[in-house]
Amino acid sequence: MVFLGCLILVFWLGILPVFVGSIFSGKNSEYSNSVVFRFMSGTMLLWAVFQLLCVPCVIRQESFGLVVIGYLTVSAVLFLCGMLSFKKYPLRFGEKRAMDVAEKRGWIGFCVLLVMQLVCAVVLAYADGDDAFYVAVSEITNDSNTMYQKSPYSTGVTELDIRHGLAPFPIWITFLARISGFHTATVSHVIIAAYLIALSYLVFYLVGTQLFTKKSAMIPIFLDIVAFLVLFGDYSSRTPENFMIARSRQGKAAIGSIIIPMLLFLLLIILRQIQEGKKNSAVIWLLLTATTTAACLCTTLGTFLSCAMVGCVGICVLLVYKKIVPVIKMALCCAPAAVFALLYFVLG
Amino acid sequence: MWNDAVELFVTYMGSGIIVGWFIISLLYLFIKERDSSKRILFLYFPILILLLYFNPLFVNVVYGIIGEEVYYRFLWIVPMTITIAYTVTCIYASLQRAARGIFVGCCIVLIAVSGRWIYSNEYFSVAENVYHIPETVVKICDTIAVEGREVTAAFPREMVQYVRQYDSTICMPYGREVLVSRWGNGHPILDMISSGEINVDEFVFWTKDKEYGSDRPCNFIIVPEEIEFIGDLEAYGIVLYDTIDGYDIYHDTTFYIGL
Repeated sequence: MVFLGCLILVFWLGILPVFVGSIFSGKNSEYSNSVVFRFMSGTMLLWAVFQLLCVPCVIRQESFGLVVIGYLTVSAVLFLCGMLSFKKYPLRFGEKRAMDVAEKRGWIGFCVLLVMQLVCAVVLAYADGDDAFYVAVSEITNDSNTMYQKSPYSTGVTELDIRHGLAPFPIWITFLARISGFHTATVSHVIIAAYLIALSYLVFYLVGTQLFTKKSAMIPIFLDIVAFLVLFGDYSSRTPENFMIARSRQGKAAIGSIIIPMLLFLLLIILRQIQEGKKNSAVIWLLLTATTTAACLCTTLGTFLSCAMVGCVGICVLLVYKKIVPVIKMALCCAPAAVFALLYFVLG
Repeated sequence: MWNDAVELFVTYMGSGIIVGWFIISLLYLFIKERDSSKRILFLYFPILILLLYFNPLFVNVVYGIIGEEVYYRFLWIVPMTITIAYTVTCIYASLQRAARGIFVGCCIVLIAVSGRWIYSNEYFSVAENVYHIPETVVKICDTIAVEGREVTAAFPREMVQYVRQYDSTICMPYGREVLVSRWGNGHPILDMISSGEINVDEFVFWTKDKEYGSDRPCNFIIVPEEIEFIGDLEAYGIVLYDTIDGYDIYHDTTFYIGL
């Protein structure tokens, strides 16, 4: 059973996003045929879809089982669409080029730092009081088949907790526990903790590819410095680095270390295309929309942070490039997040 | 409120040295960076965010919406780590090959001195099992759980936050909300368990009484072995059920739970 559960999670967290991300691939794109881009864009789309499916079910007080069936169905459809796109645009692993000694050392150093963090995520436990809410919500959902209708802290039934229900990241964790058969505490504290740390570094890698388009030998140095800044990021308990390593299973950690860097990556692409006078592809706008929606899954504050980030960059674009159309498109990409913000005020 | 925002910023910065490196990075990029897309994202955008963060009008509006506890998270959208790493890499790329290794070495030492090793955080410990929950809590939960039924148990302070992460069929008369001083005022049962000495008559009043103890009476009470009871628990139908890792488990036999 354990082996089967591992296989299911490897497929769901590792293989499925690559195929789903193939929906975003294109013929002439410089980035969209790389495996990391597809993996991350697939993950963002799957998170966004989960948010769009789960929140209405939470509001209507439907059972968790319905979310499981609905999400499996939609994911299967996305997987099939991705397969078709994958056939048309196969993965591109980049041209092989000789690496100098410094670059090789940089990659080896980064791999050592990454593996160390993943091992620590598995063998070290972090006592955080907020887990009494988030992990308990996952466990209660798995056990009772209800969502946000029971108090995670102490006793049984409570009224619907819509404030937290609008950001059902713990329910996504319960979904993984349900399909794999693992205990929700194991999925939260061990599997998701390590997975989200790895995901963070994949996003940092993507950012590096955009920052060093013509000097890719610099990417490992960039990642080494990022890894050291993360490892020494406990200068206060409120930094995104602290959340990334210590509380990685909580949605708010995913906002700081995955969603915000991912938005930065997408905005880098958009800004470069504006700068070069190219037309922004629909794929990037769709992915920006998926990422701002995924931000809402992580935490209700994600709605505000993602909109604030895109909005402020939009203001800068308006001032520097003096172009209004991309800014309008940026605003439209925040529409789903704005709807969730509205729900927060109306229902919360 | 503005003062609170400043205080949150100071707390967020810690020693402030990393933020110092960030400001130096901004200055470097201001002078050296020519790519307008990077200037927007790593220079103008962070400055705009910081201006907003300290803007009294913005503080008043956002404080009201997101609350004072999480206002500092607005700073998360300032890409501090990426900006510093990008600047270091740009300087590295501009150096002669021989000087690069020394430069990176110096940067790593500076980062180490400026920050704090994340795994030195006091809340990290070696995991005792695959759940990352103390093994004693797991053993106690397994002992008191009843198949197909919810049971209520009062746990000592150090266990409260873990119980329902492991088994949600175990309810408690109080939860984590009573441990956080800014949220609540404790709970009489927890206060008595924490005190080291328990007056049985008073204790049972709270554990048995539906109206005052909780919305349901305690089927189990878990206390450290060294707790001294003043009075006769058995007179109230409460008997010692088991002892696990230095904790006594008492069972209230007056409520049928299928055991």
